Amino acid sequence: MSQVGVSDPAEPVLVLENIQHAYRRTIAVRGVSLTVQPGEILAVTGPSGCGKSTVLHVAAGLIRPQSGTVRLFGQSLTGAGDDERARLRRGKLSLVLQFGQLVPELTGVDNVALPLLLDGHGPTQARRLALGWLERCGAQELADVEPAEMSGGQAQRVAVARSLITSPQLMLADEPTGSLDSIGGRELLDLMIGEARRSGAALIVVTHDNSVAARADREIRLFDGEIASEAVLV
Amino acid sequence: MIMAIGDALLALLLPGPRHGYDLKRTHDEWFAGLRPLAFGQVYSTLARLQRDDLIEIAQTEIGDGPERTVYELTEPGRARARDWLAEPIDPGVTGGVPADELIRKTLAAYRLHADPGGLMSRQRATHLRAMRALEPAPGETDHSAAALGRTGVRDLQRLHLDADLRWLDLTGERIRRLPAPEVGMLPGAVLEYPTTDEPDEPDEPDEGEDPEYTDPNQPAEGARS
Repeated sequence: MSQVGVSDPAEPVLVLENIQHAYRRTIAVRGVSLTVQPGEILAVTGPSGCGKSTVLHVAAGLIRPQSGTVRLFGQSLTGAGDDERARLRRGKLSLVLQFGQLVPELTGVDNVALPLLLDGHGPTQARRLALGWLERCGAQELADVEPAEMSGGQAQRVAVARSLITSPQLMLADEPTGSLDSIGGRELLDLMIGEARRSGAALIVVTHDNSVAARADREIRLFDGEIASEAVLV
Repeated sequence: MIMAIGDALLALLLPGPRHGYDLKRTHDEWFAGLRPLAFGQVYSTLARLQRDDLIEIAQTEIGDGPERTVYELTEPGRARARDWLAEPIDPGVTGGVPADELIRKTLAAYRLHADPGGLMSRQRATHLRAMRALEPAPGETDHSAAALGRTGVRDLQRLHLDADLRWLDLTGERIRRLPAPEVGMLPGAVLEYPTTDEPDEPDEPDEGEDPEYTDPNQPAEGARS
């Protein structure tokens, strides 16, 4: 497994300052600032269209905001080129999006192994570790299954296994569990929170589900692209 | 339940002195989906609030109709009303959150310009903490029949809290779409909460639904015969 650089423990893993971003003429995020500490579990909530997914994509470096600054693991993403941003993210940051986002041509185990393969690990070792993570995520039976044959919940399990395999310092998840009223969804969230607690990683989860928000240490609620309220839950 | 009505009546007295019938009428208008207050309930609650030094008699009106007592808040009563409007309900109470109380408090905060958004945010945080407390401890994932009694009860409590949270979201959205209410609906607005840019104008005198009673601020001869 790749050895990730260990940041100063006192340093926030993520700092967003006064982020503003618009899609065409629609302002999605206006003046959002937030800081995430190592080991913190943060829920970002709000109604549809409130800008919560945009905030997550900015944090992940997938969207370059029109104004404001992003500091990831103590380094500024502002002005960094694509290669530099990719280097900052690799191995330290994982992302689980709403629909799994698996590579359709690869089986479950190869999808999970992919981050290690990209990081230069040998295929045998990468697949062995990937099988271990699939098992921890209760998805070992999906090792040889291609994404097209998986249900939405199964694809999410594989995506979570893939997100955990690099032992990231910051885990980002956008509606990762579907409905937490299902036992499967609850188990998946338990797994992500458990891994964050065990490894000291921070977890930012975007959700509309109050049951998910209630599991976080802190909730930031967005309305109309702005932070409407913030609550410490622990 | 009786205390909840007492708190609601104290809040209704915040804008100024009122008599019992006026309080009942305003309560039934603001919270029209709830059971209307019975007169006996109003007067017994007012008597108790007076006994506890939360309200006092401002004046006694003697007109053509029956004698009417006009009440006003004492300082402790005013403080209690403001606290009630600001403090979220503790969902830890046995039997969950009383729905009537949640509705009265939230809608009264809106009607009285008492920062309903702030109240709803605090209520949300309180509810989320209560939901969190109902989560099983890490590693406590017992799916056995023996554990069902405990998990089933917790699930039900948690989902009730979730329903309250959804109601708060929906009500917050409804409130955002409404113009700010006119505190002037009640005579003599005295709240110090920030209001809209325009000063409140007193409402037109109500066309009393009941000829027995008139607006206390109007001369008695204004009553319809």
